[in-house]
Amino acid sequence: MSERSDVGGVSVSTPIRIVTPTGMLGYGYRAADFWRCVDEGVDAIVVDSGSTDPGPYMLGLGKTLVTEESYARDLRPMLRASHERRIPVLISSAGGAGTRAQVDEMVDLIDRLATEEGFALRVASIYGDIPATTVQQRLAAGQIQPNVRGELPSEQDVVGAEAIVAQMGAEPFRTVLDSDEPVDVIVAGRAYDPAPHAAVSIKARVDPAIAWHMGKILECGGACCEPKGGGVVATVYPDTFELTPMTPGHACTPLSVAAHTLYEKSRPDLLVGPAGVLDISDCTYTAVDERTVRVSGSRFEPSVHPTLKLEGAAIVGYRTTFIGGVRDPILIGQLDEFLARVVKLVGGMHPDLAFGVAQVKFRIYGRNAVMGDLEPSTQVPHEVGILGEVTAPTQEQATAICTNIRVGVLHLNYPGQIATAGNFALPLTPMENPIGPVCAFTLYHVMDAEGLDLFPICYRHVGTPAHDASKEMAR
Amino acid sequence: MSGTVFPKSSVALQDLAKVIRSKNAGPYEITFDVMFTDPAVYAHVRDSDVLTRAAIAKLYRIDDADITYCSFFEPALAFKFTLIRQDAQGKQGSVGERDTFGAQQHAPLLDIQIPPPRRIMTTRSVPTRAADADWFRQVLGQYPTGVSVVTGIDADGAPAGLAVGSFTSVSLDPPLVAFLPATSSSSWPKIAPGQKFCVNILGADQESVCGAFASKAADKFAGLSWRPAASGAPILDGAVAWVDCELEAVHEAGDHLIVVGRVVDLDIERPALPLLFFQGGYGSFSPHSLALRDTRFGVQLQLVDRARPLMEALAQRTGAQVGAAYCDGSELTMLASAGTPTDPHASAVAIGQRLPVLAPIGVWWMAHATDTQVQQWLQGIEAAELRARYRDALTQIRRTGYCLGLTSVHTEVQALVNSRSGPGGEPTAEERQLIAGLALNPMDYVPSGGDARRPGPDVVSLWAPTFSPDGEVALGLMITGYPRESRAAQAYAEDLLALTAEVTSLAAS
Repeated sequence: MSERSDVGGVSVSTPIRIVTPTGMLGYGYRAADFWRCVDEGVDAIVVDSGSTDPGPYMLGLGKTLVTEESYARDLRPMLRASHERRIPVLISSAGGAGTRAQVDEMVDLIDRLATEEGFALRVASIYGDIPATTVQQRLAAGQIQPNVRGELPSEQDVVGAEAIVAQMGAEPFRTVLDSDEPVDVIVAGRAYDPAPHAAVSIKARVDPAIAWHMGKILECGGACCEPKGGGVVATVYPDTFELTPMTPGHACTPLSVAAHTLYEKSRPDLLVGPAGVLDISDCTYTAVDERTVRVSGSRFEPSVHPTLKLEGAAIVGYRTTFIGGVRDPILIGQLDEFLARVVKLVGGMHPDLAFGVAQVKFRIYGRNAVMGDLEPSTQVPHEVGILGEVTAPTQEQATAICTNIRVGVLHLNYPGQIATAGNFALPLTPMENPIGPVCAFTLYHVMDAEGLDLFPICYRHVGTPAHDASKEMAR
Repeated sequence: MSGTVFPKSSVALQDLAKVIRSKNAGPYEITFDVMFTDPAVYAHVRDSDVLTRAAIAKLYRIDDADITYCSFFEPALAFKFTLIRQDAQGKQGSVGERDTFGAQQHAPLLDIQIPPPRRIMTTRSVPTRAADADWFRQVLGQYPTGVSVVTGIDADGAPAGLAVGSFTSVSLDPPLVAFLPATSSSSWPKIAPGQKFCVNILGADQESVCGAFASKAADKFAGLSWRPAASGAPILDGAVAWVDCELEAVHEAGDHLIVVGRVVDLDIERPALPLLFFQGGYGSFSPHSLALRDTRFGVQLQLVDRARPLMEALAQRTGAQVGAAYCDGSELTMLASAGTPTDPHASAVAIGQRLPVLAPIGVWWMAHATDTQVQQWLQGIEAAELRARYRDALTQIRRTGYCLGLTSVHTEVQALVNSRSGPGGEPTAEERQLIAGLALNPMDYVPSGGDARRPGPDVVSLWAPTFSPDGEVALGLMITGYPRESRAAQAYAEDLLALTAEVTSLAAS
């Protein structure tokens, strides 16, 4: 390692080494591999905690992606490394959606863990929530772009959202790293996944193209390795970076790294972020040794206007579901007509269903439940599973409608019926299961961020000063 | 190609790719990755042009506009495309969601069939040339076709017709034929509604008829006489043959149609040579090297096949036509011919031509026949003295090894051939009389029969036998149509004898 001069706990000279022990905080990693890596010298520990992939429920309901126990297990070694080695830890999109509440919960958890471990930590929280009034103003001013489907949000989408966050870029992290306030851990709200990696690198005067490209790969942890999984370490130079798996026996190869650039991205060559467009179409991937790959040739085009991607979710109803199977070929042959008759029948008992205030959706497993209209196969299965999903303005209403739908599927007659004692094999009792509120993304739009002062920062000391020095040495 | 071995038949994509997957790219898009490990396999799949934006749109039954990205990506040896989530997939993670992570939308890609690699020749050179209509015609013009006129009756009851070069037989059971009119044809649409048509096979002398039907003339039947077939479709006078059909099926094939007809009736009108289309022009069939195909002459035809190169060589060297015949004692059959006659007065050897073996026909064979056979042969000659002179002539011919054919006799024989219908059978009284009339001077057939003019300019053909290993006459070889001015007939006789000697030794080997 070259000689370092620490500012805010992070090296400003290259190369710097950044470890991401897991692609998602709470998904687990091997502590021994992590410590071996830390022992070899690490300048920053960066881990992502959020995603929109599981859907809007985390944002709309404030639920976390994994349990507190999983977060605690993954956090403990990182916090100890931060305390013992003074290695900064950066956590982004805390809790899954990165709302203020989830950031605070994460900081509270860190407080508890530090207290249990018997050390103190200086924590900076960066909040990513966006006031609905700000979005309303920008929407009215035409400063929100339509999404990929060409849709703009409605006024109701904005005011009706349970929570609105924006994917912060590198600047809020830079602000913390550059401040005079000493910080051990940064817990950020919703962030563009590579932002903390990029912030650490750019501070060390790494080319932004390299900084963003490295972050883009590292934020997924060992997904760029062969086999996949575990963590990964980046050694970052001003104009290139190298990737090495944290896990022994895993390897980064030119193909495994290039292939990862495809993952979860709508296109592999141009990656649009809050600060600009990363162009990796002319990148080269070179094997340094049998498990290390060097990446270079990335380009970065800064955007003229700073932009932010908004995420907003609303509760759109309450759901009750049932599941069961049909084996009778006479019924399978006319299932669509049969289910339509059931819905019509139940609509007669519940006007909200007939008028679309409540709705029922079926998924016919064995036929086209997975792909719907995209399904090219027309094969007739010997048995099908039916998931019934009733959504209504209240949980009670959803359960009432769902019960009638389930009874209809079980007992309604149909042309050619031979089995007159029941149409439906039900595996669960109770047969209807209320599953609570259901959310939808009402905002997933890019907003012009020019002139906005967002992402407030809060500094806090957590844990307790160590009284027993021997306990610390015991690790 | 780094030793990559591709199968010869199509292979499913799942057997070529290492990864085929789908996943959300944000809440509105699902992205698909197909990844390879072998650069050669990657290049093969890319170059097969199977994975295209259009193919993806068709497979997933979505609008092209809903594909936001679709491309191969060389650094990762991958093909990638991204779809906008469809309404049927619901709002991501919300009511009606089928696949929250978009992780199972890849399955239809697994069975996409990738064809085997094409050879360089077909991928590089042909597509450009194959698209060149002139080149296509020039190459396909190397394949000769017959010429037919397809006729029918239009909705107004008027005859209609078109010239086609694509008539072909299709099936024996049921009896089907076909032809291929251009989709731009103005005549076929007139005939098609009637569901019936007649194919007229044109003769070599009917090029003008072909021209009329190939033209855009208002009345293509002007100046032509015809009669209706059973279907009502016209049978043109002078056609070599006709095939009357009911419409069986019409298939589309590029800018042409394949019209299949079920044969209702068919006949040969006259035994004439057909009109041919070849290398962009019309012509007729010129017998060059042909052989009769008749199972009764199996042994002889095997010998003819072996003798053919020698016959062709001689025909080419001398400008003559060389024929081969077989005689069974009662009938003479022309089995084969080679070359084109230079002498326009020599009439073409007609393969399959049969003649009753009565004096003087078959002199070359009778010179080596038994006494009983000769007696039979001479039975039509009443004068005992003439019969005795024939026996003398046969003796001399046996000694010289060949015999002569005369212009006058040739003409008479031709008339006989034209009047004789069908093979075999006893000669009619009329034929007997005609043949007997030829048998006036046996010495006419004898070379050097004490006459200095033998063989002279009036000799149009020469005949000589070949022998089987047991000494029996195997074939009669004949040379005719040679240029009589440039060489004496004697020189051609020597050529013929050299040929029969070679064929005799061929038969022995």
